Amino acid sequence: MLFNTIDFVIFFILILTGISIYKNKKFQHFFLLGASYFFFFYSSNYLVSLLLVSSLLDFYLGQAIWNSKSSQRKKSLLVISLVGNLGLLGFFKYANFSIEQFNSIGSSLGWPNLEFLEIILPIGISFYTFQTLSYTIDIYRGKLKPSDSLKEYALFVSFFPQLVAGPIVRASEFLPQLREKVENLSFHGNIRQIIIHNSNLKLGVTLMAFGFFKKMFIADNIAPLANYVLGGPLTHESFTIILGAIAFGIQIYSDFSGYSDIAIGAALILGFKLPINFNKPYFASSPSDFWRRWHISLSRWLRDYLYIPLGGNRISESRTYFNLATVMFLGGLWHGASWNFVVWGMLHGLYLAIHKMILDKVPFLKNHPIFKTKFGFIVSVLVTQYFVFLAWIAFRVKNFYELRYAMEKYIFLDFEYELTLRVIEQYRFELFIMILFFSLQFISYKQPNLPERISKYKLPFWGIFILFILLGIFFFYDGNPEDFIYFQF
Amino acid sequence: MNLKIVGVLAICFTMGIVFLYVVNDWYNTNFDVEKQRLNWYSEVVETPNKVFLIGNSRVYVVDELHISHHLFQSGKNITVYDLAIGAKMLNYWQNHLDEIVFSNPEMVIVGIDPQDFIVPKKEIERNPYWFLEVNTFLAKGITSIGENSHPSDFWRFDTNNFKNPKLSSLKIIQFLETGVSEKNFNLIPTQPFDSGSEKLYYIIDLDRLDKLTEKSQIDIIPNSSEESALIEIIQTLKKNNINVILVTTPRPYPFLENWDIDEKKIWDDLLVRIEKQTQIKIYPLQNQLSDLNIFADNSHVTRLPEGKIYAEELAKIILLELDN
Repeated sequence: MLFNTIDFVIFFILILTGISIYKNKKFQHFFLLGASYFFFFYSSNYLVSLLLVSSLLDFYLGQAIWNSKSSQRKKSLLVISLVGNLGLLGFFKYANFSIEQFNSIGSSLGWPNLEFLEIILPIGISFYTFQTLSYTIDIYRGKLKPSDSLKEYALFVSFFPQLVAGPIVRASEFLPQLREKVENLSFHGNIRQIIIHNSNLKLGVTLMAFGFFKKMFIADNIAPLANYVLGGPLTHESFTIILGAIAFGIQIYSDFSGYSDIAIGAALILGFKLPINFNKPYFASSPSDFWRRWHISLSRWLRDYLYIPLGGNRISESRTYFNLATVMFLGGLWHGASWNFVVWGMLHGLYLAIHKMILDKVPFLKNHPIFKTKFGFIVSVLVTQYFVFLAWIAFRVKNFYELRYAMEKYIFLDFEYELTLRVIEQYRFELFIMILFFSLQFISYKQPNLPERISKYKLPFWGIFILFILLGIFFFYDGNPEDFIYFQF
Repeated sequence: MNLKIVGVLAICFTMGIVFLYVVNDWYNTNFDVEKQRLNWYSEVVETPNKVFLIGNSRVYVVDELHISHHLFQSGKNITVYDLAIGAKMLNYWQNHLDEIVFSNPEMVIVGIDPQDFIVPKKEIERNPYWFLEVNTFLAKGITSIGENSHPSDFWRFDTNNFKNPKLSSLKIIQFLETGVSEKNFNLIPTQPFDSGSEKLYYIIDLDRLDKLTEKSQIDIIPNSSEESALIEIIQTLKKNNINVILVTTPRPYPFLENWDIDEKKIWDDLLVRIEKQTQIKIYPLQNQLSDLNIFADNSHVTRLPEGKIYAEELAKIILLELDN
């Protein structure tokens, strides 16, 4: 079930009605769990069984790890959890990719080709696998006490607002919210009644309105330009390629952060706080700053469960650079079974490593006064974003020949005035969206917590704001909207 | 839950929908699509060096901008307009020959496929605005109450008003900006006449298509009215010194390999007949791209950028014809 369909709106209204009418706590929790499974079943049919298997596996393994006295046994149980979860993810996401690689190597050696498997990638598997993994790893590290209730654990894994595309929530962030009292690692107070508070409702609806606007007004309406340029870049000159890269950067940000806003807003209305996923990434002034602002829940996950266990930056400089590259390589591969995602991840790994290397070798740059000035900040942002948008080309263009061509045109400028004018003439509306996007980003950068401020408006003014958002969406709804990009991951 | 907040949301949603409906209803009443198409021909007369593509959805999927770019890079400044409209048979273009001739293109490319020579079937599609159908039920309810009463237009939502609001909104903005209500090309990046179907924005893997495809039978009717229409289109355009190119539109190999041999013969005979009667060469794109993963289904190249090779092939044909 896509958020940007009337089906979801009806589904969500029914959920809110059900919870408001019947106030029994146990019923409410069961109702949310059932609704979450229905939400998943509606899009993925029988693949809902994978969600169930993953939940059961980690629930019981989590308890077994906690109760186990021997550290060797704890380790073995953790390995079972890792193999089980990563095995499922690997099979569904990377099996055909591996066969393709095997066949391409095998064909040069004269080996017979392997048949591709008839499998569909289950929606959200990359997200809920990371959630369940963080649960068992945290228990293994002694940072989390396992949940006693299978129902609550299953709700944590399947909670519908963030099920298919995040934010990637930790058990320690979600499970306590199901209880009234939380002490240290324990969240064993009475289960909490779900009450729809006015402030949560207004802020949640405002966030959802922002999310729908980002997705349906900005992302869907700028997509034709990104598709036109990066879908087949071979005949385009540099200006068009740069426009295409910017258009895709705007599309993917509005699409994914729009989804996150809807998820966070929907959860908030139900009384659950999900972590933020984006914080104006196009104002990042360095590669590491970008990753503190872009897909925050994934970068936190990669930092805590991959980068730090690899040694983080407490080891030799060369190992740190290597670790950064490895983590970003895996982060790229997490996005999809395709080499272009690996290139994208490697590029970001390279940016992070080079940035760190420069700061290590030339330490006075770190606190140089020039970077404290407005001019220094603007230059840092522009340079960072130049490289970020270059990497977006790798994210979008799958064919390597086309990718090389597009990147060359982006780096080595080669303008053709006539073609540029033609593209500007044909894509005027998309260019208008581009300008609007950066203006809105600037406003929200200057005015932090904008949704919260708007949600505190008096009811009539708040209503007018919502009406304007709705009119923008309704009047510029594209008859052929794009799917959420991150659904494919 | 505060009912005031819910009330405000309900009012906003209702106002938004009503406003959209009213504006689009006004738009649909005042911006007659067919009238716009006719006016478009008279406006495009001034454009020099233009090529028209005509046909149905199998031609609609062509990326005309890509053809223009390709031609431009080969030193030809030609504007290509893809006039194709989904589900339009050759009879439609036969009826619009006067306008085409009047607008004076250098060249017209006609895309044909076996499917163009059958008796058309009416397709039933699931309405994405199923939730609005309640109004149709209401309308039917009103009809059944009184013998002489009719469902009021007020009650009957025209769901077309909601299908692609973006296009109408852009056209309304253009109208407000320029005061011209009929000119609608340029608003859609490529085709001026058709907004297309979402089914065409898709790629099906050929191996998968192969598994799904069973024996293909189309029921071509030899010497049909469509065949006569095609011959008349070609002859009329030639008579008016407009260069005509006939191409068969691409099909994927799973279709071609499973195509009934007898029917294939009927199709080949039809092509020979048309070639003989009109004295023009037919470019057979039908088999040329059949091995490529560029198809949305068994008869359409995708509208996604992966299908650009189709446009490139057409550009090559145009260049070839211009050189001759």
